Amino acid sequence: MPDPMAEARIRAQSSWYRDGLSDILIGIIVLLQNGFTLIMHFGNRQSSWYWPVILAYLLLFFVFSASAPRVMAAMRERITYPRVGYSQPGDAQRRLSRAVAILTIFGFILAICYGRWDTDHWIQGLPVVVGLLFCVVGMYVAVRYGVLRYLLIGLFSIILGLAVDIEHSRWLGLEIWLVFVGCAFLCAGGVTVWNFVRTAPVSMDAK
Amino acid sequence: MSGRLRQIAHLDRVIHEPARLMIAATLYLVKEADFLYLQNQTDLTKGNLSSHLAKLEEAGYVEIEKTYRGKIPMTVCSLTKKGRASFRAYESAMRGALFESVNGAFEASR
Repeated sequence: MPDPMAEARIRAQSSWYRDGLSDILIGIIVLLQNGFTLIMHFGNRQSSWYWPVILAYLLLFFVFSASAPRVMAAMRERITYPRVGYSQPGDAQRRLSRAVAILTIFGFILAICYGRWDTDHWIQGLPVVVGLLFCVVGMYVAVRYGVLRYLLIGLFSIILGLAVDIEHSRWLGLEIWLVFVGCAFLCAGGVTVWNFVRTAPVSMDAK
Repeated sequence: MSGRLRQIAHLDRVIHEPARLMIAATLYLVKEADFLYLQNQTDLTKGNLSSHLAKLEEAGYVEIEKTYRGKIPMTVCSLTKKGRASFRAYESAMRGALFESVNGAFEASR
């Protein structure tokens, strides 16, 4: 017998992924990361502008990442809330997201501390590792909330990660992976936003 | 009749009403939500939702805050601590009683 509370929970939580705005945000972050990779790849380390450019880009990246929640809230206020209403995730959901983020960072730190530090080796393996992470998260979101597009992007990112790893293309492989995965997120987000705007009309009270 | 099944007689009648149960269950899953979100999730009419929210507020289970998003008025609702505790108690009592009655029916059919 299906549990009505579990069903209600899934329905409430899947509504947070319904607008597709989070996909666009992830896509932008992945593409910005690619900009950083391009500078590191093609920049001349001996040049006097190399480190200032890296630092400026990092600053820009962190400013964007830090202001992203506010930008998302503003976008949701214009697109999502007038259509399906406003809701704030419960504390359990926030705790889970934080735990996943902390565990990921902790995993990377452990890998850096105890792993063999070889830049080429890391650049080579990064698409597979992050692709696997996206795949696991995608599977979780698909099974728990019934949002299938994250699973598809996760599968795409692990397959592409394996392909560029087999190709041994190092920097170029990482750049290709970032561009394609970033574009996949942007496309998925764009289509979802378009569908959402088309299928969910603005409430009369919100006009 | 077992003790767990007898708990049905002591169920919280404010939450037991189906529409209010839907509202409480929806609010239990989020930190806060506005009127439109509740309407979408429960499929209740505006009048129905307002009157049931008022009853839940009267019982001290729901906190209602009237605010503005730009120029548009917004009604933000959230379950109070008392509301959350009551909903949890209601849920466990119902689960216990239903489990008992299903088990009883199964035993009787054997």
